[in-house]
Amino acid sequence: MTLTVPALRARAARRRRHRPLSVRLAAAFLLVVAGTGLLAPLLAPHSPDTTSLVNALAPPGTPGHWLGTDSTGRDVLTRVMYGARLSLLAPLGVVLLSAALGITTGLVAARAGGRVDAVLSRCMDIVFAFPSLLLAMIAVAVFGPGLAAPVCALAVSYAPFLGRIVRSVALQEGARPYMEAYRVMGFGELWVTLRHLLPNVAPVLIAQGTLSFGYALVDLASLSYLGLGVRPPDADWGSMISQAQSAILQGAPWSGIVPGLAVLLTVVSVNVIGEHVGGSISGRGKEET
Amino acid sequence: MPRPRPAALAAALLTTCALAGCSSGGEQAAEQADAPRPTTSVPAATQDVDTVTWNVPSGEPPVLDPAHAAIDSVSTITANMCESLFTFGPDYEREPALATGLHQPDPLTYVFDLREDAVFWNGDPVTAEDVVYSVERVLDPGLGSPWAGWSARLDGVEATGDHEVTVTMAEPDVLVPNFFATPAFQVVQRDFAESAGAGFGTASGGLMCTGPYRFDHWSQGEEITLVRHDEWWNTEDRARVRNLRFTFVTDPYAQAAALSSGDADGQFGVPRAAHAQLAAEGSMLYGESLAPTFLAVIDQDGALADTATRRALQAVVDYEGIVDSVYQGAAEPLRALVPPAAWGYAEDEYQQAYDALPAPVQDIDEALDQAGRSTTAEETIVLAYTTAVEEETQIATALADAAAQAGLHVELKPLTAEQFGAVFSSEQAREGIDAFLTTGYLDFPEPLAYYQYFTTGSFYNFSGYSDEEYDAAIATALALEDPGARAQEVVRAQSIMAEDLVTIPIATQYVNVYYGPGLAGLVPRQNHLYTPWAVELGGR
Repeated sequence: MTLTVPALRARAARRRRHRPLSVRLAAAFLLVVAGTGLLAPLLAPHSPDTTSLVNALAPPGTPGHWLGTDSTGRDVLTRVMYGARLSLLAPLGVVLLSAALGITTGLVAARAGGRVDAVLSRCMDIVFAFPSLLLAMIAVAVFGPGLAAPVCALAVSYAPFLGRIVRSVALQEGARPYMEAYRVMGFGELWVTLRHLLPNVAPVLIAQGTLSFGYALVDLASLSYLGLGVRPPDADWGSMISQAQSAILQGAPWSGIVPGLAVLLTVVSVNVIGEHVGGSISGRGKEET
Repeated sequence: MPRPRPAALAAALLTTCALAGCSSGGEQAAEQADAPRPTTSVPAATQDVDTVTWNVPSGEPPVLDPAHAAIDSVSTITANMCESLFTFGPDYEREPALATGLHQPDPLTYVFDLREDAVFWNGDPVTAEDVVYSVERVLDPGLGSPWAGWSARLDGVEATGDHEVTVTMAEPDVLVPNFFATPAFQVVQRDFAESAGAGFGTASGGLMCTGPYRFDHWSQGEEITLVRHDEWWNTEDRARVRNLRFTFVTDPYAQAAALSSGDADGQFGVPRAAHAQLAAEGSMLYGESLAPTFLAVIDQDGALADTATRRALQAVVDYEGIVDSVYQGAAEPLRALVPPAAWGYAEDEYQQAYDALPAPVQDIDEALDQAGRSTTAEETIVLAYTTAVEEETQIATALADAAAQAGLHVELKPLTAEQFGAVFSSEQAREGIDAFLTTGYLDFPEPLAYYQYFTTGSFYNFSGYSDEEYDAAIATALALEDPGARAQEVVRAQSIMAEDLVTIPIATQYVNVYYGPGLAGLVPRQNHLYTPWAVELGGR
């Protein structure tokens, strides 16, 4: 099938028109969150670490503290804005690292085959069977608190998900006639893999990557909640929820609810987009077959 | 990999909101309840109660051996089972327990007259040999009892009659008589302990004491139950609660829920955040404590080497904010390491000296000025604290921010309860830490007991602080029987410490207790750790 440029543009415009409202809302929300995180020093009304014990647990609507203050008097809105930085950046790091690991492992397993495939697949099975949070906690215990260790541990833990998908798609693509044609034409294995195989598995990776982002965000928030993530007084949503526990007992739940909602809505938004991307890929696949 | 469950997250948030009472939460928090005040007496219990469930917030005790009753999970329970030769009265006055009298033929000799009608739970009488065995057992290095420290100047303990025991000191030590009412002198039955061996005080081995409650059952991970000892010698203070059941809920949120729902009838050390809610449901009471919360400098060569830097750090402590906001009024600011409630004698002397201590600078500009004069103010101060104590997390966070505003660089080092515990026992764990925030307590109201920890070479003198004049004052005080003269030496040491700021006192928080609406009689006192507090408890 051959399509002209105007025809391609028309198809793209049709797809945009058919993009559901939920996807557009999710994308807008993520843009706003990422934007406020990025511009927090310009937009935030206070410094994220400025405490004021006399203003502790001020309720939402207090002048100067529109989302209230936490148990040490820090502005909740400011900390949620600053918290977006680490809360989004760390999961992104997990996704990128796990993608690099997973793609490499999956492609090597699929292209090498035989014993290499068997060994790599069993390795992926072993890592797959290990709970990601537990691995991250062990990493913190060994390397000390902070985000670097859990990000690396989660990346290792997530890598088999992408690795398995990449291996599976690569095996399917590798069996197709066009791959054989390239080999017959004398192109090298690496060139064929990078130039032709990888682009074909990329859409699946993007869909899985978006979903992984949501998982990573929740896992990292859980670690921060347990006091194993960011170092105080840095703000991130998980640690904010953790620090709000006593405030909730005192009938002042806002310092936990606001970052809790931020986690919830971000994960929902990422999932909505991820599922849409996944659906579009499978739809396009059907369309093109 | 589990999928994130947005619906579940939403439900959890809504549940949290409902539990916390979102609609009225703002009003509750905005309204500052009246500041708590220590309670000194409550109406006595008038009814017998079959079973009381008491939660131990520090968790399940590792063992129920009174020789190891130095952590509150052990002492809170063993205090109702095992008795010392003496006990503490409401104001820490020494009252007879297994000994009816004490006399000193000379300053180095203590002779105890033992009670003749005291029996162990199995009906056997308490003998002088049991007492000597119990005291020597605590001193056995193989047992590793934290109560062995009193014996530094001990010469010997021996049975000098059927109902008489004599303790002889090699050198005078005025602190020693205070230990007669602590677990250092709690009596266990010799035959039982010897036959139980290493199993003494464990779930399977049990224990044998004389107190108002006897050990009944220990279901590990779940509960410990005690049953009233009806043959207890003290018929005047008969316990009104027949069965005492101890649970070990450590999560503050779960503690509040258990106390509110009645799953637990009471608890010492209720999480601060739950006080307002529980005060409306039962008796939420406070008592003065012998516990200071303070910053301890543990590296005299690091960022806090310079006294000016320490003084600047002290200047940024928001005492008022900490008492009002962090402790919600259930504390008092401190100017010396030992709180006023621990002045067990010569109160006027101590008060006068306390008032004369320099008040902490509470002016950021002056703090900046002081820090500017310091040679180490540019260095980063590593401040450790435990995340297991919410109040200390808040204080450390506020302190770090205030210090930053004053031009000091404070790096927070949050530690788990286990990591923080290691700081007290391992030099390696203290590596890289300049100071830590902690709460300690005195076992009895004798300031000397705490200040002696900062003499040259003391185990707890982590910073290696050494001052000849300080050491001399403490050494002199340890040998002075006269309370007034002793107080003079102690306050001399106190003022040296205040000048050098080896510790930066912050606040003394009240001890607290909660019990449900059907109970009465218990006044919160810190000495509940070593006295049979449950005999005060009963039905309303």
